[in-house]
Amino acid sequence: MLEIKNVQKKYDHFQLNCTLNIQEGTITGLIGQNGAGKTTLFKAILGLIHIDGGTIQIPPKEEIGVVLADAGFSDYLTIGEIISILENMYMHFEKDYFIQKCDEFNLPRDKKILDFSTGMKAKLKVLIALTHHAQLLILDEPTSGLDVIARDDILNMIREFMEENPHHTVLISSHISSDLESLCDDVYMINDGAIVLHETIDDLLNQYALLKLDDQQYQNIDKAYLLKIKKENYGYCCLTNQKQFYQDNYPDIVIDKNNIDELFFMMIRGE
Amino acid sequence: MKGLLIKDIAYLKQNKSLYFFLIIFGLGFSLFYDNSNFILGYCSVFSGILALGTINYDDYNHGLSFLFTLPPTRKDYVKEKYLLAYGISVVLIIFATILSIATDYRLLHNFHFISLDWLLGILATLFFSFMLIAFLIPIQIKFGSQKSQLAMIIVFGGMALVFILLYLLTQVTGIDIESLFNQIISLSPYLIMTMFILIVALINYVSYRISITMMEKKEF
Repeated sequence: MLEIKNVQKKYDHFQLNCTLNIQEGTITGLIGQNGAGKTTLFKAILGLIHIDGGTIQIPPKEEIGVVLADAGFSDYLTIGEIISILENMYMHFEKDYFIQKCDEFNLPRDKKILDFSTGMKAKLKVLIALTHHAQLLILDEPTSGLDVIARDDILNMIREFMEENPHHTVLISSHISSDLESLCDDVYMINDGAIVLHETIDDLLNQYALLKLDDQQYQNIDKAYLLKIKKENYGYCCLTNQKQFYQDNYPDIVIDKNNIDELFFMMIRGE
Repeated sequence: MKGLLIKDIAYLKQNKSLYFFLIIFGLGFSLFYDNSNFILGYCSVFSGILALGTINYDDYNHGLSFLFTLPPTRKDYVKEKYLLAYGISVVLIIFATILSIATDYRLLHNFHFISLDWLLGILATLFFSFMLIAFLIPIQIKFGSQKSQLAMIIVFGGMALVFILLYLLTQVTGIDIESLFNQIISLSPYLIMTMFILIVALINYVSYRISITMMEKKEF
């Protein structure tokens, strides 16, 4: 559905160089710290910046729905005006569904977006992205800064979108790892402009693990499957993608219950 | 294209107080000022400013980056801005013409002033307005809402300086440009008008191509 091959973008102090393959019918997460290159990658995919190399295969704009973290329709417009704009921009704008969802989320149609709360604005952005029979959603931080209820509403909208059609595809970036864990099929991790990890969520949660080792255990353990190591007060924290191996062979060591935040932290900070 | 126009018309509706003052000033001049040309000149400048205002609205809060994720292309966007500006010009010049007729009727108590020459004057004002648009839009696209005001002061200040220098030159050399100009026009007003329209059309075409190139190069 979306293929990004060796896409490069050079700035004075930053360089993007990424390859991603987003499969049809999947939700793919993009995770990375601030300044890692997530937004630059999104902008490159959407043609908002000119790339210095590589290729991007993407469906036509008519079939894409986009949420950008820091941009949207002007705050001076009302939902009523946005409806008129969208029905004249998209061939397949679902006006009735859009209005139904606005009513459901209590989004007033005659008020300027300027008067909306953060949650209302975020819901409107996602609604705009998915009400024209888009095949691919590209969502940059759609749940950023939201309370649990608003976040849940947005995640449900994305799930509904996926259930509608088996070909529907989503690329989403988020800082909230629980969102990604509950939503995504696979995750790309980006750091310093490059993809440092790509795994399915199942593999990340089942095969990856953090081993907490004291100095003695660390000396004796087979280090063949340790991806990253970090010195801690108690000894060493080690990231592995062969959890079963260590569980079977070293039953005494502490293996932490996995979460994406800690994995991500180890990928970036571990050596 | 239609969606973009609807968006800009929604933006233009925000300036209700501006239109109110435009109408009040227009009516005021029409009733109390004895020169019908003033209101035409006044309105011819306004259309470009209103069209630029819509680019500012688009630019607000990185709005352009979102806008270019929607189906219209950058070329569509530029094309729509020119069409919008021309449309506003036509509406404003019609408004100004009505006020100008009212002023002349108040002064002359008849409609004999309406002639082909008079109509050519109106048309010239309209095309003068188009010429301003040709200068304003590329500057706005190139420099954005922040820097464009400074850029416009430099461009229009430069143009004013050229006119002042030309004026001083005529003073020094003793050439009466105005009578020379009138002489040329009286020789063949239609030819001059046709040439003026062609020049404005050419300037607008070049301006449009420049605007597209600049917009295509921009990063958001």
